Amino acid sequence: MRSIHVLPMILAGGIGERLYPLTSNRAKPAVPFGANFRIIDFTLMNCVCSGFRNIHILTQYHTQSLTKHRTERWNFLSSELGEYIELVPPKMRAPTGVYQGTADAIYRNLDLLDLSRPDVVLILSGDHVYRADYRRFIDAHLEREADVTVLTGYVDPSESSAFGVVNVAENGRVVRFIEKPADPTPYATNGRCQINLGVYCFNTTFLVERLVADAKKKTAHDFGKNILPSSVERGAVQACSLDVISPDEKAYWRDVGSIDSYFETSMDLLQTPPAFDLSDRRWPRNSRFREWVPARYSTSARIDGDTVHGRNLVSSGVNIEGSQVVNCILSPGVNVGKGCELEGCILFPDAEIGEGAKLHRVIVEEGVKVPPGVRIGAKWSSGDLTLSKGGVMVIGANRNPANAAFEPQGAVEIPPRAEMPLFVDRLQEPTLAYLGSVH
Amino acid sequence: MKTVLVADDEVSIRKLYHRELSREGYNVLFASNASEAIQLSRESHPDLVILDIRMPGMDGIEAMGRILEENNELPIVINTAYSSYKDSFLSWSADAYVTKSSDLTELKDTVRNLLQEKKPALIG
Repeated sequence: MRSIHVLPMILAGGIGERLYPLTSNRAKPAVPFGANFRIIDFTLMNCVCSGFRNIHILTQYHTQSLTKHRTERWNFLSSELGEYIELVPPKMRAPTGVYQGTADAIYRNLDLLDLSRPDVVLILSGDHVYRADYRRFIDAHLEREADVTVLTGYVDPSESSAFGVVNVAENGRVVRFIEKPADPTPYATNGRCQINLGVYCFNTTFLVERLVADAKKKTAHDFGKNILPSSVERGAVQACSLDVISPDEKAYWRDVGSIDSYFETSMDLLQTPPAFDLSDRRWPRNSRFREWVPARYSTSARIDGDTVHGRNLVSSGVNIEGSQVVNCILSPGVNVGKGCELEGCILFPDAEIGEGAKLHRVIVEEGVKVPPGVRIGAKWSSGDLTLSKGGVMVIGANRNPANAAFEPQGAVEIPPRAEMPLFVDRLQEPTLAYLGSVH
Repeated sequence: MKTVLVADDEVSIRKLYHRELSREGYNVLFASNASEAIQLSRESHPDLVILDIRMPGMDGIEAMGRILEENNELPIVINTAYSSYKDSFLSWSADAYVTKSSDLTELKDTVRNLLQEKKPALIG
């Protein structure tokens, strides 16, 4: 049997503007997530669990945050065995040195493809939360003799306009890409739209041909907008649904590109059962990854005199002194003083909450010290902190809440949670035989 | 008159190309290395560039990358004595790859075709 040489390339060069201030001093994929992870860890775990240990991460902004994370967390790959996670910043050869788009990022690194000469290139994103066995994805790509295979998911048409919608023929062949349609309804099948999840498997020569052709034109140099529509015209583009390659019982995928999607995805970890279970023993199975999973426990707390039931995710090194904490995610080194009331909060590493502070739906940046007795959250005050559309407040690293105006300024209305894409259609039950083959 | 920039470190090649391409009716500019080629493509706005690959210092493939970063629509012909670079993905950014020969017919045809492709369509 012929072995297939696969080269995963993770796109991690987005500026992460919609996640600001969480991206003010770190790359988007390096934003802490799920108490003890960074967003990029899920894509990296998918790669390593799929057996791919030669990974390029194309970085651009705040590369240092990803370098630090790789050094601290992903230092176990063996260079003696030829394994690596390589960070690739732009070469900065011309005044237009930064990557002009996702396709341009790969185009400017054609030398890497030239050096390793893979059969297929797996193009991944560093800011998606999901579990996938990429071997199954590549199997589907090879079986169908595609030039490109696109990972897709199903969402309600009302949620599709934020994505690239894919029209697929019965044989799985993609016949059309419609980028962020204003009205996706005409493209729905059986009441659901199939959307592009930003994960692609390309035959290498086909990829290079498309990238070179695109580089010669005035385009956005973007996979979704340019490369895929031109690929449909010039080659065989196949769709592969996430549920086919997901080890989860209910396939789950989220793009954590904005404060609200970041917050809601985090809260999904606290549902019962969790929409995305960090402690699922089947994937990843590697014992090293098991050590990264935070403790998850159910809790009841008295918040504003009312009893609230929920869950917490608590990392190692957290210290809580007799406080009411519910539906919170606490990263390593977090310190919560006496008599605090915290509900729906995400505390980044080494955050400190002073005695008696009340926080509601707040993300507290790494190392921020919240003074005693303050009340922070949209239901009390907007202050001058970042407040998302969904009513999530963020205390950035360069902010000292002691100086901020926390006098009540009238409550800010919190809109009901928007339904987020969750892909459950055409589910294949994961079989034990398959799961047993995962190393 | 169309301007063609030729980058080649060999004087004899530059002389030959000057004679042959001038006869074709082109204004011909010359660079003896890659850095000069980048500079001239920036300053003189040629309509097409012919690049040798093996030159002292920076090679023609690197120069092509830099030239295209500044003007991605500029047609580029790689013109080398070695056919092996054809397999390199980096050379695929060129519009054409012509192996050097004493007979310049293929090169001249290629240049003519690329310049015609670039010509804006006549109205009416």
